[in-house]
Amino acid sequence: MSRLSLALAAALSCLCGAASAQQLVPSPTLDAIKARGHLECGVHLGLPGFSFANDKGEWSGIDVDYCRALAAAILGDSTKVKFTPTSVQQRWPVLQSGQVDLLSRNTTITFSRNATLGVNFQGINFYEGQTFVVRKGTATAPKDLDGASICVAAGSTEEKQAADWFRERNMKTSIINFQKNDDAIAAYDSGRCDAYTAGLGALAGQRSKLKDPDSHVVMTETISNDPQGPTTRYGDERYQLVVRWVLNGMIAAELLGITSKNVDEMKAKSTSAEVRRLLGVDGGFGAMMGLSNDWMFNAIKQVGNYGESYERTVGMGSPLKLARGKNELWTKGGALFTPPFQ
Amino acid sequence: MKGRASAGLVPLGGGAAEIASDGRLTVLPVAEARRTPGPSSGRALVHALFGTPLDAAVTLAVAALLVWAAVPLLRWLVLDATFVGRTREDCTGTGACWVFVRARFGQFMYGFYPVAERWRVDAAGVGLVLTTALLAWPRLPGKRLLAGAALLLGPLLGIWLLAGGGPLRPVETREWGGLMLTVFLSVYAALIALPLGILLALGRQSRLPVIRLVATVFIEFWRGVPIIAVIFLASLLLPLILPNGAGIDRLARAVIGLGLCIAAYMAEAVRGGLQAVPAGQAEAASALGLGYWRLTGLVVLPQALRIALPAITNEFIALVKNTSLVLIVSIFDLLGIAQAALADPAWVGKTWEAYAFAGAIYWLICFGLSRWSLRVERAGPRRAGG
Amino acid sequence: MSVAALLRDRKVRDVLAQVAVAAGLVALIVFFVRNASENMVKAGIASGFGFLWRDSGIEVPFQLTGYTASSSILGLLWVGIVNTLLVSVVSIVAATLLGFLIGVARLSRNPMLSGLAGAYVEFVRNIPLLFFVLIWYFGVVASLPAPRASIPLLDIAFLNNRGLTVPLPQEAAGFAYTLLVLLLGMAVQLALVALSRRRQARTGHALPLGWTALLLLLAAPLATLLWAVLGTAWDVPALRGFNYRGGFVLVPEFVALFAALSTYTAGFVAEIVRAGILAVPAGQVEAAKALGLRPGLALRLVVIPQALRVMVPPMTSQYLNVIKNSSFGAAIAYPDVVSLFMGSALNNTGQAIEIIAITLALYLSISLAVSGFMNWYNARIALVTR
Repeated sequence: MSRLSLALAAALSCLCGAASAQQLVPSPTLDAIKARGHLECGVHLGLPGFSFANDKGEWSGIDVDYCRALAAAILGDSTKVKFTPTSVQQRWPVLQSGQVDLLSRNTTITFSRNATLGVNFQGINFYEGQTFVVRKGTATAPKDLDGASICVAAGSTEEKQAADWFRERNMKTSIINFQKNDDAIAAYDSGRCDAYTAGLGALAGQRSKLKDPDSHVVMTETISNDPQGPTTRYGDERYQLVVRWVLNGMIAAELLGITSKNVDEMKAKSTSAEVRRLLGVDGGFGAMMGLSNDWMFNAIKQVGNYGESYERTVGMGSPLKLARGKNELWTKGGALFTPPFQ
Repeated sequence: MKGRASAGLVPLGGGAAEIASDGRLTVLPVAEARRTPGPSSGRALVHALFGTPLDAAVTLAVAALLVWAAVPLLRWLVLDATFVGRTREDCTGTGACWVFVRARFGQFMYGFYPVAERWRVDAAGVGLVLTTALLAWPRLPGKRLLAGAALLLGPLLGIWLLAGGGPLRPVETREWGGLMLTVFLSVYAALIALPLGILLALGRQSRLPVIRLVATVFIEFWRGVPIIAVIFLASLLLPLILPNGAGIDRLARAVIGLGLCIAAYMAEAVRGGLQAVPAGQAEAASALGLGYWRLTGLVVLPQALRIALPAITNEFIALVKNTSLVLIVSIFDLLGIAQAALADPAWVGKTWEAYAFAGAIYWLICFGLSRWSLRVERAGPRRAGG
Repeated sequence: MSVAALLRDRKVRDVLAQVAVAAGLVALIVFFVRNASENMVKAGIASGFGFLWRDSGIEVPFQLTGYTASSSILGLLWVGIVNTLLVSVVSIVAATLLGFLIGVARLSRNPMLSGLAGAYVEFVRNIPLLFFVLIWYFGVVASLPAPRASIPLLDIAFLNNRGLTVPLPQEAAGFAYTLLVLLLGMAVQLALVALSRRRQARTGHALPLGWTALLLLLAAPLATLLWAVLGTAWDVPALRGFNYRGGFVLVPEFVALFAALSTYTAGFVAEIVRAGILAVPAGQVEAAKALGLRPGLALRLVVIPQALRVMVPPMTSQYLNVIKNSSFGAAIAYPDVVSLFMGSALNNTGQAIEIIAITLALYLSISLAVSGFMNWYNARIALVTR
C-alpha cells in the first residue's frame, strides 16, 4: 500500500517536472552562495596583474575581476566575494573539498587534471605561454639555456613542460623545484638559478618582485601553450553553466561594444537582439539559470567587459603592459572566443 | 620501561631525565646533579682563565673569536644601522635597515588584521598575560575556582575577541598573521595537546591492555612522523575524511594537526611525572577507598603534573618553535610574514633584517619560557607552579 | 546477580571499558574511511596505487640513484628516500661531533670557553629550526659568488652559489677496495682487542693496540685510497656556458640543510653530553684516581662508559629528530621525500590520501628501525646488575 502510494507520488512529481519547462535543476552550490551571501573564490597567493593583495589586503587582477563579475551576476553585488589565496599544492584539495566555489588562479587547463582531479575547466580567460626570465645579456631565447639551472614552482605545469622541452632537444639543464612561486623567484634573484620560468603574463607581473627588475629580461619566445580559466569541481551542472556563461558574457560584451560606461544606455536604447538578450531586456536568460535577468548587466556595470578588465589589470593601463596578442577577440586576430547568446 | 630508547625516559644520577620532542633535556625530580664550581674571586677567575698555558691559549682564542664575530655584528645591528625614515631610500648606511621593520611592524605583529580592529588582538593578549599571571600566582584565595573559570571561558572569549561576532565586526582567519598568529597557534594547540596528552599518558599506564595498546600506538605514531607531514596531512586530508560540507577553517586545521602531534609528546612528558610519583601514594589512596578517577585526579595527577611541569614547559617551547612550520601551507605566522614581507617590491633585499627581527622575538619568547621552567625545576617539586 | 552488581564488579567493568574504547575507535575509523571514499567518488578524484608506475616527468637536480625525468614516480620516491637518508646521516655525524665538543667545552673550567658554549646552546635551542634553514639558504649560501667568480679549491673543486662542484672519479672500483680494506682492518682490530683483553687478564700486559689501530685503520686504508685516487681518470669540472660542467655538484640546498640541521642539533647533543657526564657520580672519578688511573684512562674506562649509558636514549630521540627534521628541506627545495613526493608527485597526480599514507608509513618505518637498533645497542651497554 505505502509502496504504491510512494510510486504514485514519484510518478506525479516526474510529470509535474516535465510539465513546467522552467523547472530548474537543483544547484546546491548556487543555493549555498546565495545563503551565505558571498562567493568564495580561490586565487593565487600573489601574482601581480592576476590576483594580488596590496598591503591593505585589497585584491586586484584579471582573475580577481572575473570572480567579482561572477559575484555580481549571482548576488547582484561585485563586492560580495571573498578571496582565498592558495598555493600550487593547495589549490586542488581546496576546490575538491568545497572550501571555495571555484578557482580563478592562473591555472593551466590540461587533460590529466580534467580527467583525474575531479575538476572541470569552464573556459579560457587568459592564453598564457611558458617562458623564462634571465639576467640581461646571458641569453635571449630558450635554446640558449643549455647548461643553465632553472628555478620553478613545484607541481606547476611549467615544471614538467620545461623538463620535457629540454629533454626533447637534448639540452642539459638543472631544474630546481620550489614549493612556492615566491621562493623560486627569491632563489633566482639571489643567484641560485640562471633563469626562472613561468608564464609570459605571470612573469610580466613577477618581475616587479626582483631587486632590480631592469637588469633582467623576459624572453618573448614561449615554449608552450597554457590556456587558463575558471575551474570548478565535478557536479552541479547549473552552477557550472553560470560560471561558463559569465565568462562568455564578458567576452560577448566586448564584442558587442558594451562597456561599464555605456551599459545603461545600451540597455535602454540598443536595438541589437543579442545585446538585449545579454543585458536581460529580452529572453529571460538569467531566469533560465535561476539568476536575476540583470545578471550580465550587473557584471558589466560593476566590473566591465573582458577588454576593460584586461587593459586595467594586465594590459596597457597596468604596470605589466601586456599586448592583447592571443587574448584579442577572434574577430580581431586573437583566440578569445565566445559562443553566441541565443 | 625505563631506559627504552623511544620512551623518552632515562635514568639519570638517581633521578630521571625527560627529553622533549626537540631534544630538550629536563632533569627530574632531583635537581641538577653538580654544577661546575664557579670562580669565587678575581684571583680565582684569573687562575681559571690563564692558569695553564693551555687555558691561556683557549682564553685568547675565544676572545679573538668574539672580537672577530661580535664587532661586525654590532656594527651591522646598531652602529651602522638606519633607524629613522620611511622608505628604502632612507637606508643609506652600510648596516641594517630597521626602517623596514618599523614600516612593516604592524604586519609583523598582526598580519593583515584590520587596523581599526587591532585593539581586539591587544585585549586578547592582555587577557592571556593576566590569566597566566593569575595561574602562576601562589596562594591566591579561591584560586581553584578562578583558574577553572579562566581555563573554560578564557579560550572562548579569546576566539570571540579575535574572530568577532555579535557586536564585534567579524575578522576572518585569513586576515590573521604575524606574532598574534604564532601565539594563537601555540596557545590553542596546547589547549588540545595538554588534556589529550594527560589522557594518553594515563592510558599508556593503564592496567587494561586494549587501552594501553591504543594509547601507545597513538603516541608512537605521532612521534614517529615529521610535523611538516602532519601539517600537510591536516591541511590536505582533513577536508577529505570529514562529511562533505563540514568545512573546517584552515587555521583550525593547523591547530588540530599541531595539537594532536604535540599531545603525543606531552603524553610522554606527563608519563615521566606519573612514573616519578611513588607507588605508595596510589596504594594509600586506594586503601582509603578512592576509585580510579578520584585516585588519579586527586592524588596522583596533581603530584605528577607538578613534577612534570618543566618537561611540559619544554614541550610548549618546542610547540612555539614548530608553529613556524605552518608557513609551508601558506599561513602567515611570524616567520611566514617575515618571508612574505621580503616579496614586497618596495623592500626587496632586506632578508637579514626580517629574519633577525623574527628570530629575536622567537628567542625572547622561548628563552623566557625556558628560564621560567628552569626556576620551577630548581625550586623543586614542592613549590613548583605555586 | 543483578545488572548493578555486575557493573560494580571490577573485572566486568574492565572488559566493558575496553570494549567501549575499541568500539569507539573502530567506529571513528570507519566514519573517516567512509567519508573519504564517498567524498572521493563524489568529487571524481582518481584512487589506487597505479600512479606509482606512471612516468614522473619531473627533473631532480640532486640525486644519486640514476633517476631521470622518464623514470616512474616510484623512482622519484626512491630518490626522495635516498636524499632524506643522505642528509640525515651526514648531519647526524656532524652534529654528534660538534655537540660532543660543545658539551665538553661547556663543562670546561675556563669560564670564557664554557660561557661561549653555553651561549651557543641557548642561542640555538630557542629559535625554530626553520629559521636556521631559511637563513642558511637565503642568507648565507646565496651570498656566495656566481659561477664565473667561483672560489677555486686547489683548482679542482669550485664553490659558488650553485653549490660545491667536485671532481668525479670515472672508475669507482678503487674506492670499493678502500672500503673493503677499512672493513677488514676493523675486523682484525676487533679480534686483536679481544685477544689483548684475554692476555691482559692472564699476564697483566696488553698488546700495543694503539699502533695496530694506526696501521690497520689509518695507514692501510689511506694507502689504498691513494692508489685508488691515482689509478683512475677524473672528471674535473670546467666552466662552460652558464655553469661548471662535469664533476659532481653538491647543491646549495643540501649544504644549507646540512649546515642548519647539524649546527641546530649540536646544541641539543651538547646538553645531552653535559648531562651524561654530570650524571657520573664524582666518587667514580675519585676512585679511578685513587686506583692510579691517569686522567685520560679514567675518562675512557670509567667516565665515558657510564655517561654513554645515560646518553644513548636521549641521543636516539635526537637522531630520530634529525631524520624527521630533514623534511624541513621542503622549504628550500631540497629534493627529499616530503618535497618530491608530498610536493611534486602529489601535485601532479592529486592522490593525496595514497601519497600521504605512503610518506607517513615511510617515516614510521625509518623511526622504528632506528629506535630498534638503538634499543639493541642500549641493551648491550646497559648496566648488568648481578
